[in-house]
Amino acid sequence: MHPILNLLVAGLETEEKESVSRRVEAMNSELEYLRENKPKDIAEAKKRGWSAQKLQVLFCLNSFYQRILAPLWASTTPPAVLGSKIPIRYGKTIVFDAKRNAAINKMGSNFLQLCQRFQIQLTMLEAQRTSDLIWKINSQP
Amino acid sequence: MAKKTQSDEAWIATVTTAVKAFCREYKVIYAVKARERAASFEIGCLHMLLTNYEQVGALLPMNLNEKGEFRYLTSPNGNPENFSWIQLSVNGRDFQIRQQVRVQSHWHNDIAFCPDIVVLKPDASVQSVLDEDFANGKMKFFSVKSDQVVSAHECKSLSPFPELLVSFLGAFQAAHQWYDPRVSYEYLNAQGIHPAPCLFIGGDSRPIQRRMIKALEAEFPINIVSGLHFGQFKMSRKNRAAKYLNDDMFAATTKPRSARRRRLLLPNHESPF
Repeated sequence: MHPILNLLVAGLETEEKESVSRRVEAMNSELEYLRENKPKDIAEAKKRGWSAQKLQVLFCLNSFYQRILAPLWASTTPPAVLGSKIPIRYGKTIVFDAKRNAAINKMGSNFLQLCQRFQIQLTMLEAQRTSDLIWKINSQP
Repeated sequence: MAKKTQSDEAWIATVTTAVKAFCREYKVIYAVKARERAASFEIGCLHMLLTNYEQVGALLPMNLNEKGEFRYLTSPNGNPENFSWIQLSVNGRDFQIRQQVRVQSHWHNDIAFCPDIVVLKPDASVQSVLDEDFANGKMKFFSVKSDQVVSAHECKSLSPFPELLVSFLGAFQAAHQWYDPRVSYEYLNAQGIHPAPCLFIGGDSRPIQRRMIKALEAEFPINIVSGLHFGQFKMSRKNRAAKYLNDDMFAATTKPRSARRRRLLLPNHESPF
């Protein structure tokens, strides 16, 4: 497992660890495929500063964002009527309220800032496949 | 564009340090149980739906607990009367938005299942019976008839693999008596109040899956909302990306219906299956 992925998934339940790892593996496999079949695209990405080594880091951050952070973040934009002023009690232990929304929003924003510091834009985190990611990189001005 | 002045190794080392700091600060927030993450996704889907409805009607959470919290029904085994729900008032009528209420299909009384979110007609009532085949007859079996269902929505924090997509069609047809594949009818109206039944999918879709989603949406009055970011876009009324149901199907008026519509709306019309 990539050391950065190792850091990100530490503490997650086994099933979720595996889910994120499988996604990263799939992105790596696609990268291999693209290197063989679309070498020009990969060379262009490298020219723009995205070597295979750095792409592998990007796959980890992208997968962590999509599988772990985004589902949590989904519940933090409530309608006016529910989920903020009126908290939602889900089962005995989970409460969706303004405090939780604020904590998750702060975490999400800090993760995006972290990524931006390393020239990783939100659209790159939202890419669903390696080919989409390469396209986004190569389409940047 | 990534900076070229820094070596790849140095860049990775800097990212590693930043990720370590991030994990140290926020692990307690993101390393939750998978159940909580799935719940968060489901609540996010409910929010998308409610935000959509806020544009056309008034929403009022009902039956809150003593602390003023909305008590979310997480399992079909709970008595819906003990949990909260949302009243949608529009054009003088009060629809109900509920979670985890079992729907008994018009196909057969023994076909009953539990969509994640249902929108019910104003006069809908939840029935409860004791059935020896359910929890040894010790717990009540709660359900609502499918002729009371405006729309049933499913939330799956998964990738839109083909089998998931087609299985939603079964749930869609079993839960909505208003839909009959034998009858040609304008089920949709872009100005309608109610979003067509939605399958919310959290996972990412691939091009071949996106084509399948497009094809299914062309064939059936449904929305397949794939991906969280695109979902919020699609479920916004501003951009008209989602499909809406024809309000005539749920009208309260007693204006005469055509013979074809009467057949469609009969409670026990012959099943095509």
